[in-house]
Amino acid sequence: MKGTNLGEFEELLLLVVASLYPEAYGLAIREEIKESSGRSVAMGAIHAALNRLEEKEYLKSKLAEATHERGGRRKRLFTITSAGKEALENNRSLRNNLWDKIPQLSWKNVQYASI
Amino acid sequence: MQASEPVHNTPPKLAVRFLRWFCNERLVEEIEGDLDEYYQLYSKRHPKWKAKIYYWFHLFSFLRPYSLKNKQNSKRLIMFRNHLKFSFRYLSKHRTNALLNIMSLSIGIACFLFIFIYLDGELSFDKYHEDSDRIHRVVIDLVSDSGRTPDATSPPALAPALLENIPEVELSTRVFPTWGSKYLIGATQENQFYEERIYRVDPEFLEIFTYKVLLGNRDELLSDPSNIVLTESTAKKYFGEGNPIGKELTIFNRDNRKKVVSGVIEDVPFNSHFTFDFLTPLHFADRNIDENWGWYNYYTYVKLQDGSIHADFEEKLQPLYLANNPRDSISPNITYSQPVKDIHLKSALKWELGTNSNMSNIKIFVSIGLFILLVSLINYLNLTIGGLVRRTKEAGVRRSFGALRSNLIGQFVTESLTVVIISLIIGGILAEIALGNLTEIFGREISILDPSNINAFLILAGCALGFGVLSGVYPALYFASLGEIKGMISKKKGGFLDLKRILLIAQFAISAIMIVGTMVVYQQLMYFKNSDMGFDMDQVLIIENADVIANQQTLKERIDQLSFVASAGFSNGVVGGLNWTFTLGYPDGFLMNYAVVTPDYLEAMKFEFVAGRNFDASIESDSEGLNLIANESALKALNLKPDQVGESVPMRTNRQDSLIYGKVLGVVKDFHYSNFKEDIKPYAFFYRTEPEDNLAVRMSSTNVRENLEQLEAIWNEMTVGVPFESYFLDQSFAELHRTEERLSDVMLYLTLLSIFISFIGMFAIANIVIKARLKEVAVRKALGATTNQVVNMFTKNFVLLVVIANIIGLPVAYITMQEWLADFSYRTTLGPTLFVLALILTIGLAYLIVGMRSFKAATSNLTERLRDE
Repeated sequence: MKGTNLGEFEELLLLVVASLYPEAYGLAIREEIKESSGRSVAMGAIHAALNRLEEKEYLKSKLAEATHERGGRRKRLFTITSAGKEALENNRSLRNNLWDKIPQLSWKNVQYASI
Repeated sequence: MQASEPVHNTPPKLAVRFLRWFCNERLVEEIEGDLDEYYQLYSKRHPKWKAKIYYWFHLFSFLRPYSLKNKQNSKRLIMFRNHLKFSFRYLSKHRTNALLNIMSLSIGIACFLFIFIYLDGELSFDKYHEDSDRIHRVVIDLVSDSGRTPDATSPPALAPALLENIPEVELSTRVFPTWGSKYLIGATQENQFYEERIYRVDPEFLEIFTYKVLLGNRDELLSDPSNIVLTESTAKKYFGEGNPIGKELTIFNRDNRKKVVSGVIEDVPFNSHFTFDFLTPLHFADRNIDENWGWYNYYTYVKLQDGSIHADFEEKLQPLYLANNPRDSISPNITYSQPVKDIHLKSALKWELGTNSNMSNIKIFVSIGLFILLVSLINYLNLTIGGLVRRTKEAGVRRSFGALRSNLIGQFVTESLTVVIISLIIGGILAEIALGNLTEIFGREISILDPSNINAFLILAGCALGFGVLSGVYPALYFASLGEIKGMISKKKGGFLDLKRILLIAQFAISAIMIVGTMVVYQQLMYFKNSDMGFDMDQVLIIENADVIANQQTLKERIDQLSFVASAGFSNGVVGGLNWTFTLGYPDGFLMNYAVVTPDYLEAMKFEFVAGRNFDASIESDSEGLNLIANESALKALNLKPDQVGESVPMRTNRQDSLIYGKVLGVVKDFHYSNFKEDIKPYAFFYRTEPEDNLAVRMSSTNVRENLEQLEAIWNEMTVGVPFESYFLDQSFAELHRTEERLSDVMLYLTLLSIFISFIGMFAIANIVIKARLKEVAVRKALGATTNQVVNMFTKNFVLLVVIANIIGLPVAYITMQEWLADFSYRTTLGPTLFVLALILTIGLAYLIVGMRSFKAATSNLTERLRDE
């Protein structure tokens, strides 16, 4: 099924949401991504992806209490679902399997830096 | 809540409203919250404008289907993206065309914006006062045997009489300027400046003219004769940032009067017909001016009662004047009023308080602005229409694939809007750059980012977008009406071509008119500059306020000793500036302009004597008062022949009705002492030995800076703390022609632009025409036509268009410019050279541009063209 595959950005988002628990909301996620990966992402893009992940039921969300620095507006806190966790684990085991299958020989001709 | 609560920065309001408008209700709260928090974070670390830009950026990133209010939009969104993609593809395929189109449209938009904003400023004069439509100026035209002289001034008795006798008048005030004399004013001995923008006014002045009061109590600003009110920047100049209320300013003259600062008001806005730095109550300790109907050196303003009828007020003015001036009843002066809002644009009386604009220059600006916009719109139409010919096929294919009429409209509108929006942005930037660089020409700083000018941009954007939509809808409907099959097979060029020709002719007619117009204005300007003034104003320095030095003879002797000084002399007025007048002549009196001078002044200014002699300091009778040196006009007005110089002639009667005789000692050639719009009138010089305020110094070397330093050194030795103020006479004369100079500058730029745009248009049309006939060219060449013949085939058509355009445009230019020149008493003549030049210029350029393009076509690889298909 098409919906079960995780894109690279989606995977990153799921991981960040999980790591930020219980304070994972739009802006915090953006800042975390910026800090850990150096990628500066438009907020609309993050919201759109979160929305999509929620539709796929990898994430669930609820509105939290209002705080002052948001001008009294509530934020939507995201938490990962069991389906989301499963998808992440699938991705991870798929990668691990592939990593394990790489014969040592194939690294031989790869140079890390060309001078 | 905690005391140390951080400040909450408000994000841009417009952005928030926009978000609420488009965003889905379910998501809007969290998105708004996230954006807000982001803004707080960002505005702490970065400047505000940056934070705002980033806010907008992130806001736009939310414009995605999932967050939109109405999910059904998304289908349209997809179509829109598709249209946009096709638009960009089409534009980049026909790159030259698109580029030319955008270039000319944005130049047109820039010009229009530029002129619109300028005009908006001109039309806003004196409208910022509360109830400005109830404020009027009352003026009295002076009537004498020689005719009616319009005059802005009135006697001091007028204002109180108006208030007392005319029920429509609610308030009245007099304004008494300094009439060119300068006052040395200082807060301390060190901090002194010469000031002349001081108005002595009645307390009602500030009730009629509602300037914002920044410090002080509005009702008491002018209540005491010792009060003085400063404008904001003057207050800063004398007192820095501190509160000046209650501080003293000293006016350094004979009795060193002290004034107490009672208030600070806003600086007089640029759009005022008068301007001042100081206001102080009109008050004479030793006399009552309220009954004085004889001095014409005040200005009178009134505010009418709410609801009163202006005509009722107007008809009471002349009777009031006559009642108070019964002696005048034979040929009385004429009293009337002017709405204060109209003064800047329409009033051109003698002794205006400032330099007013004039309607004809403004009309010229506006018509040029419209012309250029028209020229660029024509380009746009021509290029779009020209492009349409090759799109019939595309439209046919679209239709046969099932595109509805609305789809076609969507495609064409998106395309034309893309071009219009890009042009709007570029045009806005260009206008801003132009406005920034042309401050000098307009005499004030203008920016389209100024909130008051945003409207101009919005109006223009509205019009341009409307235009864009129309120019997209029209061809779409045209193609839709052709039907599928017909569209694909149609080879007909359509009625478009004729329209295109007419538009090209219109464009070039406009260019021809502008070329002639610019040349005429420039020629008139050169005429001012090169004509014989009647004296030599180069290298003459005027030192002001020379009367502060009691011993003028010593000053002159010391200055004469300087090696670079050719000659120097004193006068009480400056040619080209203000001068005094009085009535002279017998039996018929006339108005004589005059200046009191020393003999060496006439030498220093190099007036040309045609008869008689200069004053002589050793002849005592020369300085007695009625012995004068006249210009030729004055001699004529006195009914004298040049050979009567030196004879005693009756000049006027005195109180006992006995005649007073005077003598004309010498006659100088007529000279220009005012701008070229005015005739040379009678002018006389008198000689007296008392101190005069201006010292004219003719210098023989051009080392200006060093010379000025030496003069200033002498000045500083002979005075205590009085600033040295001087200017060159040719500069002050240039000032008289500033309006024409500005006009000529602006017209030059705008004409170059309009020519540029017209030729962009011509090039683009030539491009389309030639491209469509490339195969024909190849066949002709293959059959033996020479390159020359091919080039001629194309150019002859375009040159013909330009000739027709000139035939239409040149007579229009002739009539318009004749009318413009009629304002000047001294003017250049419109020779045929100008018109021939305009003709040659336009034809030459057309030949060059079309010729080049067709030459390229004629010499390109023929086989390529023939192999095609």
